[in-house]
Amino acid sequence: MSDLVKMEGITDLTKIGAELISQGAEAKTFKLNYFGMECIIKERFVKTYRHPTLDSKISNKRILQEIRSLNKCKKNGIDVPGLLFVDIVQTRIMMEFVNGITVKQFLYNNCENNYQNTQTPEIIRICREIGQQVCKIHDLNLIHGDLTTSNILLRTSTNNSTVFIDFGLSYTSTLAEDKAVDLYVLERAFISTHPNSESLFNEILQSYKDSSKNSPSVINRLDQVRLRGRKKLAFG
Amino acid sequence: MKSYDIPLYPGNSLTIILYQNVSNTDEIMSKLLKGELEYSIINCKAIFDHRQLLFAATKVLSIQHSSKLSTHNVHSELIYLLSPTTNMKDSIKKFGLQADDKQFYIAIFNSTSEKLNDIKSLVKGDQVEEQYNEQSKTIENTSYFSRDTAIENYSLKEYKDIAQCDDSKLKSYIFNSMSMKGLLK
Ligand SMILES: Nc1ncnc2c1ncn2[C@@H]1O[C@H](COP(=O)(O)OP(=O)(O)OP(=O)(O)O)[C@@H](O)[C@H]1O
Ligand SMILES: [Mg+2]
Repeated sequence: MSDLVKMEGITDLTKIGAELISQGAEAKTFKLNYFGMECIIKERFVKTYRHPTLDSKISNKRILQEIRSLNKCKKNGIDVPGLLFVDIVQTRIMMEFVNGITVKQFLYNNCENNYQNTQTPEIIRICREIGQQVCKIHDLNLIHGDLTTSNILLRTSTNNSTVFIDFGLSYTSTLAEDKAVDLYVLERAFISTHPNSESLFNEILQSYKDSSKNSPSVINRLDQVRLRGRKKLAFG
Repeated sequence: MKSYDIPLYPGNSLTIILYQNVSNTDEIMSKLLKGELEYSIINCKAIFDHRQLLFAATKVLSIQHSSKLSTHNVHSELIYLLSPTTNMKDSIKKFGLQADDKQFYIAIFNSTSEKLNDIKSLVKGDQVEEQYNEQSKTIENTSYFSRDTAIENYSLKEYKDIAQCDDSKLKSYIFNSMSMKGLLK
């Protein structure tokens, strides 16, 4: 019975037709058609300069954080990719492929480097939706941990509605401080990737503010976080 | 009947057969309980399409590959992995064969013609010619899938918009719940 199945697994996903679409610092992301379904496989890899068991422990922790946060969002009606298959040992997450583009790409395509003069109703709607969804995530006491314009996708089939991805650095917290730092990360990402986009970020903040009774304390905190400035992010 | 290769675990396949109008379920059940059958018999009410079985099969192979099965063999493991909970009894009860079932899926890892003949001579019922759906790119269980059973078996009430969600969302929630098996906090 034990020799009924063959034990070998695919280690190099490109051998079964997967396409490498992104290589981050700690993970490779592939696109693959699996049984007729477009999928994303995100695979964390072992960093050779770290201790191997320590490294796989860190990878395991990340992958658990990532899937638990995705699951929590999914259950609470925040649009995130649905999970299809998780392999903790091989540090692989298979999830639904979202057909669309990143917010980053969308802004590049639509703003031509001048974010002040190109506030189309569509861009404003997207910013307001981002604020509202981030607020919903925070109301679940979930901190995304890496809010950037590449980690928010716009789903084509639902007229560019937002889909949040990349929860590998997420964690749970009830603290206004942690939520404020999350917003601050997003603000820095916005302004460094999209110069002069302050007014767009203000749209995000305004709708964040309008979306929950918990928002005022977070926004107050954000002012303090900004004052402490980059130090906290760089060294904290 | 349809056979699929499992791309992530080359050399392995899963063959899926849907039976209906089965008249000797008790006989099959007693063989099953004695551990005499080398294939999975699956309650088809909570199975949306073949893909659901294929993702579970992928997971069986991944567990076989890198750790240890929780059940006796790959075929019982397939049933166990269709369930979102780690409660063994409950999983087998909800996703395995039940005494009054007249229709069910049979799934076989790496089937042989010998095994298929055994199945043919044991099961007194009709093999269904299932239709491939061009749009969803899989074979859907159009006759026996029950939304209510799926909602119950996968605890889908935990998803906020379950009451008004469409079938493709429902399916995505099923996959999501299967994936989180044993990994919730
Ligand atoms: N479910 C998905 N559907 C479509 N595209 C996706 C999906 N998940 C990831 N991507 C694409 O792959 C890229 C990388 O994914 P992700 O951000 O999760 O990994 P990462 O390793 O953290 O990447 P990075 O280090 O670049 O942030 C995303 O920016 C996005 O373009
Ligand atoms: Mg990313």
